[in-house]
Amino acid sequence: MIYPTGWLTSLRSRFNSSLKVKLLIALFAIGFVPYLFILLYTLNLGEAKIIQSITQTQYAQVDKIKRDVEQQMTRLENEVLFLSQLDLMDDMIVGDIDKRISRLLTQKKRDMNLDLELYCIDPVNRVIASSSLENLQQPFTDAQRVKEAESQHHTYYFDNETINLFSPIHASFEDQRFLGYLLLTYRLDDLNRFNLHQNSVRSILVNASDTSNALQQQQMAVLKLDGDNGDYTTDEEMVLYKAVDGVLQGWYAVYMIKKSSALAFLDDFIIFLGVMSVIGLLFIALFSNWISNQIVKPVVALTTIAEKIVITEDYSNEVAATSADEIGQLSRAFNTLVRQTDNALGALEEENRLRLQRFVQLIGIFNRIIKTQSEEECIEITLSELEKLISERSFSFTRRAAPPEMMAIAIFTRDYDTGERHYYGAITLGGETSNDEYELQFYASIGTMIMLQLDQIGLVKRTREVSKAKSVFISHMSHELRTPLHAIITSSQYLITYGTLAEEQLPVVANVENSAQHLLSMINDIIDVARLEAGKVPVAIVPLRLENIEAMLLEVTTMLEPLAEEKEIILTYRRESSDDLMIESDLMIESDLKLLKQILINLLSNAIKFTTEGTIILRLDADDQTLKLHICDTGIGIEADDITQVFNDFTQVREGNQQGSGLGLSISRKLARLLGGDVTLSSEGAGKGAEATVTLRRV
Amino acid sequence: MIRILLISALFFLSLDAGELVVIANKANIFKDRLSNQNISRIYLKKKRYNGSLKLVALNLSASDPLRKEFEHSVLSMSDLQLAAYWAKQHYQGQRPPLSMMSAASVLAFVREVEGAIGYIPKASVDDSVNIIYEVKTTP
Repeated sequence: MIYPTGWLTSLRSRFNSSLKVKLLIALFAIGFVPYLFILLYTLNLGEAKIIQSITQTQYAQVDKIKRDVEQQMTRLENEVLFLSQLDLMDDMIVGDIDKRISRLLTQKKRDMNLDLELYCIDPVNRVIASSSLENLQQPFTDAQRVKEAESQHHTYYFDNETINLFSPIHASFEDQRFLGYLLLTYRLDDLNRFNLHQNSVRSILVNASDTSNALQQQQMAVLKLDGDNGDYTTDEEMVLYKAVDGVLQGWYAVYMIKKSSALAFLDDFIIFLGVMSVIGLLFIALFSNWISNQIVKPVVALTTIAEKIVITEDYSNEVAATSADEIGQLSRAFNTLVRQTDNALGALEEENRLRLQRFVQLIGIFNRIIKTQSEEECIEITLSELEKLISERSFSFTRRAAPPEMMAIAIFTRDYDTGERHYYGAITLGGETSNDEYELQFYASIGTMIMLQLDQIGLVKRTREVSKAKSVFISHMSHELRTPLHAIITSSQYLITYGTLAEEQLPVVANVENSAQHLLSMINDIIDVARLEAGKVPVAIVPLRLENIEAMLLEVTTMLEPLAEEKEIILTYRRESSDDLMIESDLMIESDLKLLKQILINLLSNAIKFTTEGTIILRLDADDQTLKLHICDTGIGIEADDITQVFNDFTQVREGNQQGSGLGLSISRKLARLLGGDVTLSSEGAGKGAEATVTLRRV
Repeated sequence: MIRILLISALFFLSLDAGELVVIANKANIFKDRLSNQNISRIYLKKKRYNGSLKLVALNLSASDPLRKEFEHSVLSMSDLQLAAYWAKQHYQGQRPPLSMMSAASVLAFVREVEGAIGYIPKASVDDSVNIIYEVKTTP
């Protein structure tokens, strides 16, 4: 197994993961392959056409050169023939003594304006007439070559750098009379006038058959000439050639064009096609990208909406399904799915809400059941709540056994003395019998709840009875104890006041009296508590004005001042400044002045009791709802954790060094609460003093 | 150039001499003394052969006064008549006599060509040719 390389894998995964990429590649391929094909075809065809066109043009050029050369040679030939046939040539007979021929030849040379010479040669090979006078009467050396050429039926022969055209001269009056030859010597270099000498184009004439000339040989070695005409291309040049007919048989007109200029148009064409292909490629790429985007756009929109729904859980989003194609169908199906999901979720939520409501209702039922005080109330509340909750059934209670054909909740109560359970009654359920397990469980739990509540009510009742019995017992006991105590105190006081006691007996009796007093005060406290708990404290609520309260406060402080002075503690009353808006003169409360006084005495006594030095300040202030009495001392203080404990019956935080029943604060609070107020205690900690506050509601 | 001057001198001398002679190649033997009419027929190409020998009549150039004199006295035709005559002959394939530029060349030609007949001043004649007619110049 060969694993593809990394980029290939990523490409493949990208290809597989993106519909857009797939579409893009497909569209691109569909668009580009035929385009490329057409482009290549055009390029190929265009190149061939262009080369063909170039070749044709150049052939025309080389043909022109060839024809020019041929014409030139023909013209020269004709000229020679024409001259040789002139009557004037009869002057050859007399050795051209009148120089008419020479003049004619000179004139002819001038007219032709070519690099040539004309001669007339007599049969004994003397130059009779010439276009240049210096040759006259010179011997003609090439007579042999003329003969050779003539024997081959040629009218010319080649010399080193010249072609020599000749024609025999006969007398005009007698054809058989041979007068000599007319000879035309033409420098071949002159043919170069027909050749092109340009930067990119040049042409030459070469004699393929002549191997004697070094230059010709050199040229022939480079060229590859074959047949009458042809063309070939070298690395640098395009070469065309054509054979020359006529006199210059075996010669070729060779035409050479630098490739760069010959094929310049082709290069332009290829560049044009290249640019076109790039533009086309770009266009196809952009177009396929656009098309694939168009196709994929609704899918992307669908995906975006789906992702949004997943994130926000907002099922109200919808995809705009405009098209009728498959993607449009998919969008519509998706929308339907989302709507249905939304509905289902809504239903579920509604159901949940209902369930929660039911649950809350159930808790409410339990709550109300728990709050009931008596068994009858409990049953009654249960029935009414059940009817409220389940309107399709009717509920009733019976102490007797429920009829067996009816659904019923049987209720039992517990006897705490014996621990046995007794049948109490049954709640019968009207309506059809149900087999719904959950409904049955619900009724069973309601039954359990009722039984628990009934048990609780029973227990509370029993506890209350026990507590009441205890209170009554304590009250009775206290009263019973008080009588002999009074007797002890009275007797002791009598002995101290009137007695004939010895000096050393006095403190003993005083001690007895002291202890009896203390015991009495404790018993009084206990009786107070008992009375409070039994609700036997008479409360006489009357409206009280500020001056009533202040009078009472002054009275209390005056009363307790000796006790404070005994311990050298300063006890003062202070009202908050009168400009304090909270304490208006029309401030009023409704309370029992006697009980209030008792609370303050208790609290002040406590403060004096727990303070060894410093001050105790009784302070009055108020806000718009309450009136407050603060008792601040600089005594032993109390830890924050212990504050709640000190209000319990018989509790003192530090035992031993302080006297008292520990009922003072407890009684004070109970009294204050009886008056609709409260007593609170605060302290910054042990040794930092304490502040007791009586709060009373204003009218 | 010297030669041209000499020829010119000869030409003027002959003018002064005032006599023209018609000459022929030594090989060209006429049976009879040639008459004016014979000479005229030869120069008008009406007589082209002497036996088997083709006759070649030579003129001097068109502007030569000797030629004028010759044409006037021998052919008895004006320039216009001659021109019309040769124009007509041209269509029948006959061409006017060859014209040479100088008496010397005429003499040389006659000497070289067997059938040649030309006219030159009498003073220019030498032994290499035969005089076949003497032109009587009109005063």
